Amino acid sequence: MTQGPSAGRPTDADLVAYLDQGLEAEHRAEISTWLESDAELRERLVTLAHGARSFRDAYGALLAEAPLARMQTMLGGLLDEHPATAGPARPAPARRSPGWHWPNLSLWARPSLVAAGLALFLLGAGTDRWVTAWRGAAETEASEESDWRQAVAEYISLYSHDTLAAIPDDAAPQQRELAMVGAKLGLALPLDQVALPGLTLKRAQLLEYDGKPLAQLAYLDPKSGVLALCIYNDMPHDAPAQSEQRAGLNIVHWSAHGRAFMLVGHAETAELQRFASLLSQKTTL
Amino acid sequence: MQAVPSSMIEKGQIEVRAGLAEHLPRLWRYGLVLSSRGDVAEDLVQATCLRALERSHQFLAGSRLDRWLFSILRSIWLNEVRSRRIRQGEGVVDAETALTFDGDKEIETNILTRQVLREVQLLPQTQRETLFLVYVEGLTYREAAQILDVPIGTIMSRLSAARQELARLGADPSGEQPAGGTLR
Repeated sequence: MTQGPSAGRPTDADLVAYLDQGLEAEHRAEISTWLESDAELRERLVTLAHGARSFRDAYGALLAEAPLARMQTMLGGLLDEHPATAGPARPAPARRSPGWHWPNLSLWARPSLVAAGLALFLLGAGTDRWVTAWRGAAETEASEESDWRQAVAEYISLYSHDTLAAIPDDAAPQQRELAMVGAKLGLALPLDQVALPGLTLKRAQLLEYDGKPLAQLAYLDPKSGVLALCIYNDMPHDAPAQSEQRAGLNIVHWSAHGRAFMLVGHAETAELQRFASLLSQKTTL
Repeated sequence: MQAVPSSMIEKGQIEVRAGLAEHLPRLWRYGLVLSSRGDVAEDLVQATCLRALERSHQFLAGSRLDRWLFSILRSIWLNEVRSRRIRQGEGVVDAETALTFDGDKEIETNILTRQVLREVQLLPQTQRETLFLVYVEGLTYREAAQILDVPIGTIMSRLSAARQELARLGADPSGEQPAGGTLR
């Protein structure tokens, strides 16, 4: 636990509750105020956000391992042995035939539960704006293909020059990171293929969005500061490069070979388009 | 407790009888999270169903059946199965043991799923169970606190400790890095 010197400074437990949307509005606003002025706290928040995983998906796999047929038989027997003792005579649900349904999956689809329990992996800022955008997307699916960009933009907007400047420029750990991230995405990411002219690659990270891997390559641009290339493994349609603005950042995004790419930062859109053009010509991407 | 109209009791019983079926896999999974063993989880589900039918008049119609069943299953685990296993010298499966089913069959899933489960298995049991109830089953902090019979602050600190450890594991999958790593 990080205990700050200042009175009332949020603890890690507060920050986790903040990420989980588990706080009252007033407490939430207090933490937002702290985060605005406290860089170390923001780092703690990002670290704790990295401690999230696609828990629901991982544990969802266990449901398929349940011995359902045996348990159904067991339950049928118990219901027969314990007939209803009160209430109107009605067909007992003891005899279940093969038409059984799987657990109430609609439960999992409830946006509030998803927001509370699922992957707020990228929710570095945890801003209401982000959550509103996310929930809206979950409900309508209309903006499904873009909401990951909103999440990433919010996340990147937390980064300052100092966030990345402290990371040493060492090729060996970067190559290890790129190899690990690439392996998770099923993509070769050699250093020379992701290098961008005039920018310094600082690190590669594996994140997750909606249970799917998301790569984030962070660069420092001497002119504009933080710039990131993100690759998300879930985009069925190819699309040419387009530009937009989210969270006060410029974005150029495109998709190819089942993957979505996005460049995001404070750099001019034309500059991002130039980088996008270079990257889309790389043979391994 | 105030008197509950008999029609409500009847309604509650009907809901329990009709609703048990759809919760079987999730009950089994919770039993697995507690015991780390598929066969024990299956026994727990059976005992839970029996107890629920015997006490269906206590179920409040219209409330969350899954939460009620989870409480029953956990109580049986803590008060009966777990203590009996310890008495019989079988012990409780160590937290770091991989999840197994039907004896020795390891779960067959994709790499990411295995990695997440493996990482969570490294956490202390109390953190693992709290994480499961909140992040997998979607319980609110308050609901989790009720089922686990601890203050909400304990839920928050367990989740925080779990996240810190998972962040550390994520930053360095080999686990060689000392705890307390920051933004990477």
